[in-house]
Amino acid sequence: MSDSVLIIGGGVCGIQAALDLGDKGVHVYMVEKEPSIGGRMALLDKVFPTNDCSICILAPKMITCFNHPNVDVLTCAEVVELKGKVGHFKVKVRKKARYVDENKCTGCDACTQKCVLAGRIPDEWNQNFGTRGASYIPFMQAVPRVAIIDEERCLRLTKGKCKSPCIDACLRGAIDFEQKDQTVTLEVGAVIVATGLDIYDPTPVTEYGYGRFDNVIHSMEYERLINASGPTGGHLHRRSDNERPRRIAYIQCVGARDVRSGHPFCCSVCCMYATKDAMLAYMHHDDTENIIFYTDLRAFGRGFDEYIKRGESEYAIKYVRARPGEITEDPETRNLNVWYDDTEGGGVKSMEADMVVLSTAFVPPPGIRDLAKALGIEMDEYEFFKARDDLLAPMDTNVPGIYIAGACTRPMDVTDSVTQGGGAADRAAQAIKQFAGKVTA
Amino acid sequence: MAAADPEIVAFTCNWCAYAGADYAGVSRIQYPPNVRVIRVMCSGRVEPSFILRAFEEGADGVLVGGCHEADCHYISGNLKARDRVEGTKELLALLGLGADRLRIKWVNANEGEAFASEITDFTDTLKKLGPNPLKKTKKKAPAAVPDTEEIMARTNTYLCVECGKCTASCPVARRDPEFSPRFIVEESLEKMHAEVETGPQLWDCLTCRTCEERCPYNVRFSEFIRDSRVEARALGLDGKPTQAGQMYSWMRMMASGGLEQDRLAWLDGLKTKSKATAKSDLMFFVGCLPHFDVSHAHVGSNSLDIARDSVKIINALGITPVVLPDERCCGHDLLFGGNPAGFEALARKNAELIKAAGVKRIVISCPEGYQTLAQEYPRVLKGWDVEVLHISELLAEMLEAGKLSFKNDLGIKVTYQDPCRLGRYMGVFDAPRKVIEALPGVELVEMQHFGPDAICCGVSSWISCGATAKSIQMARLAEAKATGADTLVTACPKCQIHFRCALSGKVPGDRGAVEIPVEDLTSLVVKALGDGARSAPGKAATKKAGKAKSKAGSKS
Repeated sequence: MSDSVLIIGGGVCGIQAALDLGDKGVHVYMVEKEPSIGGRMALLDKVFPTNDCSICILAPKMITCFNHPNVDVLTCAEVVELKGKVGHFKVKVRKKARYVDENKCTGCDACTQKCVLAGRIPDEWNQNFGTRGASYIPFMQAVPRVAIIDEERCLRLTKGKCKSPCIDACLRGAIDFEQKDQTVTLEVGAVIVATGLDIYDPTPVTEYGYGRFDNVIHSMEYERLINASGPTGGHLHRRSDNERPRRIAYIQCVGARDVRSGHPFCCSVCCMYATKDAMLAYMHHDDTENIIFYTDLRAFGRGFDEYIKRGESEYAIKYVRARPGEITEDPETRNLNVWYDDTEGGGVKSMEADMVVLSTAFVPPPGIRDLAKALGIEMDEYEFFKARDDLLAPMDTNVPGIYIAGACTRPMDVTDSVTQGGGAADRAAQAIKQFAGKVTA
Repeated sequence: MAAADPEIVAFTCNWCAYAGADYAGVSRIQYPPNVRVIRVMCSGRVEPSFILRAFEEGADGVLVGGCHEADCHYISGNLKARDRVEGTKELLALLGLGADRLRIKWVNANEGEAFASEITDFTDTLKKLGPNPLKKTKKKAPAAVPDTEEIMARTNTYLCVECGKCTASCPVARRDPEFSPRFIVEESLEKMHAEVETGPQLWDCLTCRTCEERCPYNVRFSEFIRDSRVEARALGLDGKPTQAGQMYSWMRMMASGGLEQDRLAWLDGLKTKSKATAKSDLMFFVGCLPHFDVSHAHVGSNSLDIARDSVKIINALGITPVVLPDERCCGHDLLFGGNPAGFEALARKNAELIKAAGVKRIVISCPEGYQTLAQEYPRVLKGWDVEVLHISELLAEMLEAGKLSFKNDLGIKVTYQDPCRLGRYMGVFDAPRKVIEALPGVELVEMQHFGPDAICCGVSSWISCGATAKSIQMARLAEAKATGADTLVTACPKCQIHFRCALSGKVPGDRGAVEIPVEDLTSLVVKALGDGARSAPGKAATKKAGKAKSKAGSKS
């Protein structure tokens, strides 16, 4: 019998669950597959509907969680197997080698600067807009702020020949090329799955030219570009010429409410985040024109409708009800023509824009089916985890003692993810308490 | 009695031939009474469609009468009539009706005798030829009118959220503000489907599936249009078929019984056979190429080149294909033109012929035929289990197996037009590109719109060829030209016709911006094969004959 809880996923939802449990005195293992906790929210610039700085409100939670006496965080780690029943789960976790000793590294950046590949590898944490080296810290506010060595890129690890200036640069002797992947077995009484979401890759929507036209980007790329700690220091630039876009078009529901992409569901957030994106562009330069092409405006949450109205009145956002048919590019200016059928004004029109942002859907991350299989929990047809009862047991799964929360259950925003994290924490605490009463071993 | 009493339809010009017939009458000159005279202002007004329609309706012979050469009251209308009649004779020969059933005669206003003797002689000839075999065809009961609700449900129109992505994607809507797929669906959803059925826009859709490719809710607009046209036809409405519907005439003729066609004159020494063998059961489905070669000779269609080149390629692969002398139109255009009964009749006839020939695998160079045989035949024919391939797929397959080698370096840059049926309907985007890229010295450059986003050649099913079609064609040709390619390669005989047609007359604006040679993929392949294409069958394949037990049969 164990009274620990395993939380899979260290995004805002998992963090909330860990804090709630930790504060209750329950011991928590948090397994995060990335080198830093924080999830998607850590990479956003601002969050709707308050326009709070995302990392400013999240970072304190990340740090509290990581340093919480009741929380053990395992990064670069994934659950590969689960056995046993509620109260007696045995979970196998594979922890990938970082090649950096987490206890010694201070996050000083000396090794990342000295890496011979520094500045030569596209930085996926910045949506490939910036660059990094083989030794790197994912982002400025990473928790733990510890370097990691990319084993697929590092010359020493792949080819065995590198003078490895990182070793000398590290005054703490934290670089450890001998580190190996480890498998640890955790004993826990309950599990919370909070694996979050992925952003739909709009490449298959060929009519919008993503991947072909430099100035068509998706919303996560936009977040990094406009983020003060992003690759451009918060200056919104076009990829083609580093010029500031004066007119930005946002196309909603890309890969969402779209049978063809396999995602007929509404992604529930893109109306709001596109409005926020447009507000940010206007806040940076108030001569920026922002046009949002929407299918239906779904501003259903507290303060959402008011937010859209403010977007129109205070930030001059233009909302056009149309799903554009295609985007063409002017090969000389690299400007884009958005072709749309104005369903309220009528007729096919084209609008020239300097930049187009595709508001892409939230979708389940790739490989999530393996986790479902390892845990034995059910998924719906879109690979979201399925609740035992959507109305009355939304955090429960088909396996007693395993709970789900956040965007791995359906697309949802920060508020809902935090709410669900708290809810799942409570369900897990109850499960453990029941067992604590009848210890049978 | 029909054999003794042939029916002749005579189109006579107002100024000479009609006056000549009149003169015969007032002069009491006797001639057989089985001619019906239709006066036209000029023999140049007589379109092939008029003649074909007369035969379709059971005429045994058609006479076109005009002024003597140099006497035409409209300068050269009679000469145009003469050329058209020549072409139409070829079509009649292909259809198995025989060229002798059509005559053209110059008759002056005072040549009553000449008119009478022409009718007498023609009547004798027709008596010998016997009645028009189409006469025997019983009039079919009108086809059932489809149920609007059923069409709408089947094609997912109820899922439409009116987002307008279809209309914003549509090449027609971008040019014609009257045409809007969104609005058409909306009308039907608002119980105003009658407006759709009776409106001219129903016939303006290219059924190119660009909208469907992009529709987030999978509304199958092309199918919705296709089946709504059946409703329109039941109301006696028709689209605006090109060439006054001559193609539709011959399609309907082929759908009815009686004809025994002989359409293989073009083979010209190429190796084919009429029945499958145990080793080789592959058929080349020719489709309407011999007919297009005639009907679109004026735009330089040369459609038979595609047929010959296809057989040359198949021969070069060491295969002697089955080619059938009485093959029918595949039925694609009747289906999309709102005549599913005609389509099904053609499908059944072809299926019988194909089954009788023991064919198991069909290669076809026309994407419309390909789509029809591969997707529509299984829908309407029980037990249709013939494998169908576009020639580009056969070529790609053979290239993969190393059974095809090229001799000539072509040294050109080409761009490629994805045909709607091959690409968006059948999902074949890669095979033609693989073939093009395998040709020595051929560089493929893509147009701005390619693959699933390719723009249609502007006309489908011989309906609605007008200013919008021309504008689409010009835009597409300009895209092709802008790539810097030397040749625009098509993989569809109709795309080739439409682009060649667009370039055959005056073009708006700068000709240099759109002028580009248009060639079929098969022609390009034959050029690269060089002597290989003409060599004895088996030569290309003998090298690998040992290990090659391909489904198509490595040797004939």
